[in-house]
Amino acid sequence: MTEAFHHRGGEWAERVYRALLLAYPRAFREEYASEMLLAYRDAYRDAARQGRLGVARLWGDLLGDLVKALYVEHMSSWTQRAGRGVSLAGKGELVMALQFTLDVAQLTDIGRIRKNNEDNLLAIVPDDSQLLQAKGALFVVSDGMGGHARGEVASELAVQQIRDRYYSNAQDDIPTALRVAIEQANVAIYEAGARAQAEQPEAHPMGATCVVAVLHDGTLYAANVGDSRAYVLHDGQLRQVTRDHSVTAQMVERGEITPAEARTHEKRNQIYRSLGLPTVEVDLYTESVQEGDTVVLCTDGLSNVLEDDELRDTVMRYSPEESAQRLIARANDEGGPDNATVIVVRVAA
Amino acid sequence: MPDDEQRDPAALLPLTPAVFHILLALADGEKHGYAIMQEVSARTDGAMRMGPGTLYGSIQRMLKDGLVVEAQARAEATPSADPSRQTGPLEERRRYYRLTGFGRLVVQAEARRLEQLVRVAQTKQLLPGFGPTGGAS
Repeated sequence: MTEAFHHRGGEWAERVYRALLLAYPRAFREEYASEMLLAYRDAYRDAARQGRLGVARLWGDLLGDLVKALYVEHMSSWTQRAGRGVSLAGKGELVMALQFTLDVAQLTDIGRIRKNNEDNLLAIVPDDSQLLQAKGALFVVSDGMGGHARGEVASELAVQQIRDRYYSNAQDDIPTALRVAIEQANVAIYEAGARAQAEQPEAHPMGATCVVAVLHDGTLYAANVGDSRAYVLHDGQLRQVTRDHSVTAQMVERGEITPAEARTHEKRNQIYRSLGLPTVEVDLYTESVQEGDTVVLCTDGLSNVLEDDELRDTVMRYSPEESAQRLIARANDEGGPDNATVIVVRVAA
Repeated sequence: MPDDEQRDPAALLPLTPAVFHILLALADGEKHGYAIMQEVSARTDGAMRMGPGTLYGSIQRMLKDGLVVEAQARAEATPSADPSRQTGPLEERRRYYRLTGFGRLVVQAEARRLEQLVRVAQTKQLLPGFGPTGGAS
């Protein structure tokens, strides 16, 4: 067994594990890294006896363990630094029960050109503390597509379905529950569209974008389909968290056009993923957020009109409520070419 | 450490699965980290495989809550077939942990809590064999 341990793969694997240990908070690492390494060596030695499969399974376990433990340890060290004196009582849940106060503002506007508002939005901070503790707060923005009010139906279905599916999912892994909720919303929209077309063959197909944010303690889970966006303002820096599924975003990535050109490009409304199709692929993002950070969700009615710098300056300077009002007013100042929707959430102490 | 008599074990319930399993593993004597991991895995037929991060994260909190204490660290004769391999102080000391009196009260309280839940499940005939009518199937 020592041979198995000392073969090259073993040494390489141990180096990787040592490197991964660096991800733990320093105080935890100083106390336990050597013990963890010992336990790892034992586990590796036993796994290596079962051959490659054993080693592969061990690494699967180790990585899962790492992700989970890192989350708990970082939250815990953060809590201690914040001086909240939470007694951890030997249970991770208490750490995660740490609640932020969220200052939330939401606003949607028809704009100056469109005849109806096909955007929808929803912000839920559950009153039930157990639900809040388990699932966090949910924010959804959706931009519907399809003529004759079909877009409104699609975006309303999107926000309602995502809310209902997310909070009724007993799965405690938030990103998975979020992805599943969006996939289920997609099915609902697709089926509603298919039913409408069965009844009225000339009915327009319908679809919707969505950008969803779950804030659960110190973590933002964001998910998107289409070109509605999530941003995070941290320390005066505004960063777009989600990647648009749009033709112009691809052109920007390839360096063919600049972000400024993308805002007015003739293909700015073409997206290559949306809800309402037979299948959907959801992108998920996980970020840690701190007190003072601000999360912004918006539709392209805002992001096609305002530069990121202006968005940043507004959100930095004003309260969420005032930011939302000013941002929508600015979109209308610029001609209000499309429905514009924004949710601004500040993580307060 | 606060006086065991003064503290209410129920205040810590429910325990996380990791904490409960670690307490169970230590119920019959002190163990070091990897021995705890092995016992948990063996007792659950591999269904619960605890990694080092979860283990030591839980242990850290359990120490703070007074459920376990560190026993005397001891050297263990780790067989090393390769003398050229630098072992160093890392491999010489292993930390052992044991239950405190309070830890024992807490694991008992948790076991009783679970037992009651199981009894409810049985009366609702969710588990065969012990229902009020002798159980289904």
